[in-house]
Amino acid sequence: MPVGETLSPELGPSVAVLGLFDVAGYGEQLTGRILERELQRRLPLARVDRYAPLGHGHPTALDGGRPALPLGPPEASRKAQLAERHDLAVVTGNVIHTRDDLYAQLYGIPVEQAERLQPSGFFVDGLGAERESRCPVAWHAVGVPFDFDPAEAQRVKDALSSRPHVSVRDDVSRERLAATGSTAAVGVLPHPAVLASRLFDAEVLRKRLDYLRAMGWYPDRERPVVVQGDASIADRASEVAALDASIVLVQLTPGDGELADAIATLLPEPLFRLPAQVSLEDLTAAIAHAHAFVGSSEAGRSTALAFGVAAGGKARLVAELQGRVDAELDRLAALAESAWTARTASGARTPAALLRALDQAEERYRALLRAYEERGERLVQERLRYAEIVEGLEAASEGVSAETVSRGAELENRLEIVAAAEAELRFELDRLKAEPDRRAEDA
Amino acid sequence: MPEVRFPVVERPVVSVVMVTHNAADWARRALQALLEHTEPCYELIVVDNASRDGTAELPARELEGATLVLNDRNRGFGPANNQGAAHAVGRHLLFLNNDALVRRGWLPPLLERIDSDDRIGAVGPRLLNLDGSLQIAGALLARSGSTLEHGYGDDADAPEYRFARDVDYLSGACLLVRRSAFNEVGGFDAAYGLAYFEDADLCLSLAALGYRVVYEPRSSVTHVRGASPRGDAFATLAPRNRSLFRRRWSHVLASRPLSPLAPSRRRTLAARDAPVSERILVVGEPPEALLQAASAARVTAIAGAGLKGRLVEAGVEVARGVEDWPAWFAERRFHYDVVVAGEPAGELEETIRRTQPQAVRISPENAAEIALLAPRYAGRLRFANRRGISSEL
Repeated sequence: MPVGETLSPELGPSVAVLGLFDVAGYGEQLTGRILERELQRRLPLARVDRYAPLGHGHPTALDGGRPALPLGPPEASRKAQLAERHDLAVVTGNVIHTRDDLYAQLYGIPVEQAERLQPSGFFVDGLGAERESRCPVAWHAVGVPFDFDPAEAQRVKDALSSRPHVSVRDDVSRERLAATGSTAAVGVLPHPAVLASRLFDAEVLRKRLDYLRAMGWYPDRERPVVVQGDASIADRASEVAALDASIVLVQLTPGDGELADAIATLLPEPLFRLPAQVSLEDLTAAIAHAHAFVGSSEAGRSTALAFGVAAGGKARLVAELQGRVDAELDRLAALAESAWTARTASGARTPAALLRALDQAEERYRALLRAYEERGERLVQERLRYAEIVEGLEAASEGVSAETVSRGAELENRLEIVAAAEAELRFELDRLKAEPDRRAEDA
Repeated sequence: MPEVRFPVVERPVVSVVMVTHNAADWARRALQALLEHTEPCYELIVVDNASRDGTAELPARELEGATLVLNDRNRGFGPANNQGAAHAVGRHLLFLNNDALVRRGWLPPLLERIDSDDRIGAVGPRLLNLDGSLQIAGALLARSGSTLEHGYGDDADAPEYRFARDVDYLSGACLLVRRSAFNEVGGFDAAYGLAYFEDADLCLSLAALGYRVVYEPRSSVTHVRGASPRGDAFATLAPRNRSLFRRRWSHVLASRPLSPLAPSRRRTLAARDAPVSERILVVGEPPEALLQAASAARVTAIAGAGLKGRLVEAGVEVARGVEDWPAWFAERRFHYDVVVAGEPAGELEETIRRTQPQAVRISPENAAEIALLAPRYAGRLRFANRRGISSEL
């Protein structure tokens, strides 16, 4: 294999993650990205694709330029395609219901179109028993938002019978699944957002926090209380108002915006507020640097916990919560690997053990390339220096040494750096001196 | 002024973000040019930074089909662009100054380039002055953090500015950025305040994650520059931001030539080719394998007249009509890693030996060695395990 070529991702397991990754919801977008990253981390050379009912046909600014793939209607050919392409399908989110008409409001489409789209055909029914023998369908941290009528209950019970793994996000959802008569084992899992601290680079969150502050949406120095503008806060407004801290109002779900204005009038000054149009990184940075988070969004609360921010007054060990989610993800990865191994055993593809060895080899290759690049940079620096010397000697009068020429050029360069550093310090000094005036102006 | 109606595109490929500040006439012209010269594959987002000359009212009064964001205070170029980007749903972001007049056929080459390789994070066009001369063909960096607009004032059609190449950074006056990559690096850094160096910082941030930043000369945009009046604060911002930039990126700048760049052709060329990891000089027609690698390496060909168009299209720098070869080589002293030439290389042999003693010498007949060279440049280190975009997209 040529040195520059990488191992094909088609060699490893392939996982489909199904959810509402095409709506402008913080929890949905965060969950999709976390699952994608965590599964890839566990499966060497895996391919993880996110799917949503409309996918890139319904782009949202919150998808960060990484829209999901479209599921489309649950036709047999589409299910066959997914089962052929993937080794495991993971359904996640508050999607275990058969009320397809409700997606009309979510996507802003006619009810008839939402019913034709029929997301429950994937989220509840899966890929069909025969296809699921090749590509099992697991339910991970799903939510069951409604009680079932008898017909719905039977449909969900039938689906549960072929699920190798089921976990839900709360006790109510577990009870609703149990009420179908199914005896399938169902675990209750913390929200995947408890792993949010692994998803974003610290420098990126720092940049976004600086941006929020520069825009006047977040306090400059202190750690505020971040409040989600949803209905539950209206009842707790006086409690929040009594906190001796700045408050930052955020919108995490599409419905929050309608109430944010009303809630703002109930909260004391100074009140900061993130606009509706911000990025996933902005919302995460706002929560991660808060003193506390108050809101009903489980994703918001779990993100706060992930970054060590007090949320809801309950003190729980973050490590324990993360450990439970990690264990679940380990099980899902094992499922994917098992299905992939069974599939490749009958074909010409590489078994799991060899794949791990290939991954280790690639790690060594990456380290070698890294060393190669660093060596190249050192060589470039040396050659630049020699070129300076030769050019300087050619231009200079007799008796000038190479060292003099080289040192002279470096000192000239250094003078520029020092001059710019002085300008930077003067800028900061002027800004400090102007600060009392600016504060008076703002007041 | 007649109302300007921008097309409403349901699934835009590009989200154009324009920040305005006190330059109503130029903003109007820039928007007209955008509408006139661009196929309806984009959405427009206008962010006004507290204009006081009527620019803020212009979008609401005269535009249709654009998303408008109004700031009550000048938040600066970077933060305002971040604001616009937060409204975007396109696959790519196009940051366009309010004094940047796009020209016919400007967008397709940029899209073609960024879609040709998912490792490309940003692409920028040739920027021209109002008089048609070249303003910038990609920007250069010196070790001190000072910058140079490559080719300023030169003939925009000169061969040395007509081949696509990887660059250190591109001007934010017209910059196409992959939206996912923009978010991955955290967008423009507000630490740079109102202006200066935020575009350079963004491009180096992209490169640090393994993305390529590419200059695409098939696209041209006229940039007036300075249309938005600047107050006293700007005079102190530039050196302050340069110091901040240099401190942050000193490890990258260590491989850049000493400043000043401009008086020294050798330093300018060294800065121009600094972003690429391999430099290859070919005496004669480059083998096909090297043409494929030309996009990620610097391939310079001393070639005949008939090949020029094809080579330039492949991203090869073509050296022709040089009257003084010793001077040409002196400007490139110790520059190349590899020289592909027959033994001896004709009348250039002595010059090559004297100015490129460090280079590995490969004969053009040795196809096996050349085949080994090419794939090295096709896969850069930091993308060694990066996943490509799904074929369904």
